[in-house]
Amino acid sequence: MSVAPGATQVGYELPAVVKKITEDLLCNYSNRYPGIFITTIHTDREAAGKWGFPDMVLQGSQTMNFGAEALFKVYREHWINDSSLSVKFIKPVYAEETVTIKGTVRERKETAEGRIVLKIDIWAANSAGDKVMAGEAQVVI
Amino acid sequence: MNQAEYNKQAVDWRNIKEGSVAATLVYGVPLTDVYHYATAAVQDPDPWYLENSPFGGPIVPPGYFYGEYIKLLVVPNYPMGVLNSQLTFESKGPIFPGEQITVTGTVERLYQKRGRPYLDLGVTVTKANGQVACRGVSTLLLELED
Repeated sequence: MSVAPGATQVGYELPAVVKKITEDLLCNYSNRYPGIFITTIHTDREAAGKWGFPDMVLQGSQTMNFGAEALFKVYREHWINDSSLSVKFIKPVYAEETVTIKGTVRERKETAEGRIVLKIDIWAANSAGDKVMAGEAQVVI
Repeated sequence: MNQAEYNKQAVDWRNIKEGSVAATLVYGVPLTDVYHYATAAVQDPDPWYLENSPFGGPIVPPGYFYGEYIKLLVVPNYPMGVLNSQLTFESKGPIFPGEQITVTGTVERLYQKRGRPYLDLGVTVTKANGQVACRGVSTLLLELED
């Protein structure tokens, strides 16, 4: 299977992934640990309030998953077979916000074995347009 | 018990040794979990996760393991901290529902930055044949205030 047209070229923009952060989405992700009965800042407003957060906080790994979704939709088996994603979480994302993931191919190199190594800038913004996550992905094709 | 109460009763991070294994979990991800994860937890019902893929059957989303650090910390009663500040993961091949995997959490680094304690927990997902299918590092802020 080949990747989407143009997706191996510098400047290619990943189709955006947009997620509305409902309570269901927060809880379905962060309550999925069987046998762990701890109310976390991701699933309980009171627990979030203990640290001064105004609402439940989206788990960082869930935001990163949305980034992975944007990459997987374009690079498919290459994303599964040989890829990496490294991100920093810049600001908390709260329940009822909307998160938008975007990415751009920044670098393309070809190896002596004829493989293509892409470096892709990836980031997420909240409803106000503030960056909440930023990082870099690598995909080998 | 809430997260703050859990952290208070957990092992003091100062007593955790760098290089030690926090926990090792051996399991297979049930197909029902893959279905729940894809459709409800991340809302990405990709047919490769739910129906079939070129790898021969549905696969587990690599992102399934991004959040496994919580299990790896709770098993030894280590603090889960407050927030995830950084996360890095590599995918090196498909993992299939039901396939036996070993998920190992290793305390890679404990350090202070701007007076706040951080933990780098390494997470490695190994197949029964020894192949590392997925590996990453989760950086956790352990306390907001001293």
